[in-house]
Amino acid sequence: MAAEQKAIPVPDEQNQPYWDGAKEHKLVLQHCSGCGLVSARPRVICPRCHKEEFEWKQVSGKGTIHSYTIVHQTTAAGFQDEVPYVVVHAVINEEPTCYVTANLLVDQSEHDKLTISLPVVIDFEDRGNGVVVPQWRLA
Amino acid sequence: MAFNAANEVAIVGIGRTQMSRRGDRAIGALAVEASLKAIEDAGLTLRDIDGLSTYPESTGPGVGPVPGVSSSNLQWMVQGLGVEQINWWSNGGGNISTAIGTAAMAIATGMCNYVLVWRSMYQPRSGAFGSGTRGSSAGAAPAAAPRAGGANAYQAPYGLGDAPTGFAAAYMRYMKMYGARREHMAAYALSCRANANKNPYSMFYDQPMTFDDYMNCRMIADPLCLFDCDMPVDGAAAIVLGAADRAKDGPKAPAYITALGSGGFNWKNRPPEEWQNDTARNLSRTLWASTYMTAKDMDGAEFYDGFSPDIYWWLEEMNFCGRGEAFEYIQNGRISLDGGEFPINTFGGQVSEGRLHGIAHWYEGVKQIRHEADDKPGDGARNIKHNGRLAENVLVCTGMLGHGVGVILSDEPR
Repeated sequence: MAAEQKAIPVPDEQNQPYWDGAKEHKLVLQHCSGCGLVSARPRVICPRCHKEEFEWKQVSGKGTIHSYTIVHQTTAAGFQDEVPYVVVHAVINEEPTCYVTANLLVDQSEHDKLTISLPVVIDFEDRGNGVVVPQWRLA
Repeated sequence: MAFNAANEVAIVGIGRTQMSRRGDRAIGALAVEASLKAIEDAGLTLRDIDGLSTYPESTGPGVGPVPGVSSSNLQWMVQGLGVEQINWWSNGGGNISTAIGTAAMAIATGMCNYVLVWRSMYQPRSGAFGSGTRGSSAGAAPAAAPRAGGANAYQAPYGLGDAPTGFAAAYMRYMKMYGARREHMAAYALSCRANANKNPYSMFYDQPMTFDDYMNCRMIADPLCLFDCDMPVDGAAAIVLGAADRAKDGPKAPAYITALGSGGFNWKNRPPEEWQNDTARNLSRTLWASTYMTAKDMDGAEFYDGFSPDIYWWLEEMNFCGRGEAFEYIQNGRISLDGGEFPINTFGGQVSEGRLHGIAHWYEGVKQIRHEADDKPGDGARNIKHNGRLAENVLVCTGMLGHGVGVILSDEPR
């Protein structure tokens, strides 16, 4: 019981373009049509300009590590055999308030070298059955 | 802009239950026991209570709350306690600090005479405590992969969801920014454990901790080890608030609320576990604006510690040291009950007492102001002492993630 037990993201009306983008190996995020604010997770109204219109656009997929943890014990489905694994909140280059959270796909021998502000690039992990999730790698 | 009712409200009664792990008592029974003790401690009867306030969130993950069994919400408590007349109540907010802050306001504005506040906690007998999407337990047949919708679609597929995982990242950032190490946090863990060893309610009363115990403790989510996390328990505590002018007629010394602050988080789309910095900063600004006192006037503090790094953020945002300095501030016995200049979490904190979700901090604040912080009744083993002088002002701040409330509890109006 391992990878195939991992939770499967279920797209909804709000975030469908994000997961569709992932299937095409593109990081597609919601941009406010009024002020351009980029959000990692879909909003119904922009907190900066209060417009309700958004566009979904691909971003560069480049960012830096804002914070991270190395998980050694978890109750998360499918991850028990994968410890220690890394979870990263990365700020994307286009928008300093936009944090994209994913695992950092990195060899365990590199864990001690991790720190904040390291550059990362997006990658895409195919988990089978059409499930593709964005993941970070060190740039 | 500040709370303008300093000295008008006091905590007049406190009560609590024993704590256990995966106990067999219903959460409602624990809540009623703690509440009746608090009412008696205040020299009141149930008929005197005309206000109720709680934070009703069920603490059992993965199951819906069953009133009385796994949740002691307000509607259930009216029935469970058998309350005759309610003039004011509050059944929501961010956490128990919100319930206490609004209760103080209800007293100050004359909405009611006495407010009972309670929080009872429940640890399910099966499964780990947490909020993640979990897989089958060891040895069980593999379950189908769970489906993660909404916000969870962005978490569960990455092995995120347990509370430590989120807070660990915020703590890791702090360590990398300022050069803090786990060795520094050992000072907090060991101080809390020494306090807990003087607290018979603590789950760790009989278990000392050494520096090596802490450093060798198993890692949960680096840099959080097991001893950086609070311990899930079954248990309850309750407090009674009343008007200060009547409080001095009660059987116990009142703990006057001589300052009160409140704060929430700001919109910036940071990882949620960093919102607590906003909350603490806003709480700090409003609390210190409500009094002429300053950090230097505090004899000690009870700070919410769901996870140990919370202490750094409280100390820094509440003006006890600069940002990025708390890990050094807590060294060399400064926060110890044993002669330290600023003891904190004198009951052991949640990391070494158990997780009563904030209300135990308020209970202990009152014990300190009464000078009755006991191991055995009357021995004052945990009393804060500065050159022989007992505590006159203790800061109590809880609730960080969404909303927080803090007060100064004092032995006299100030």
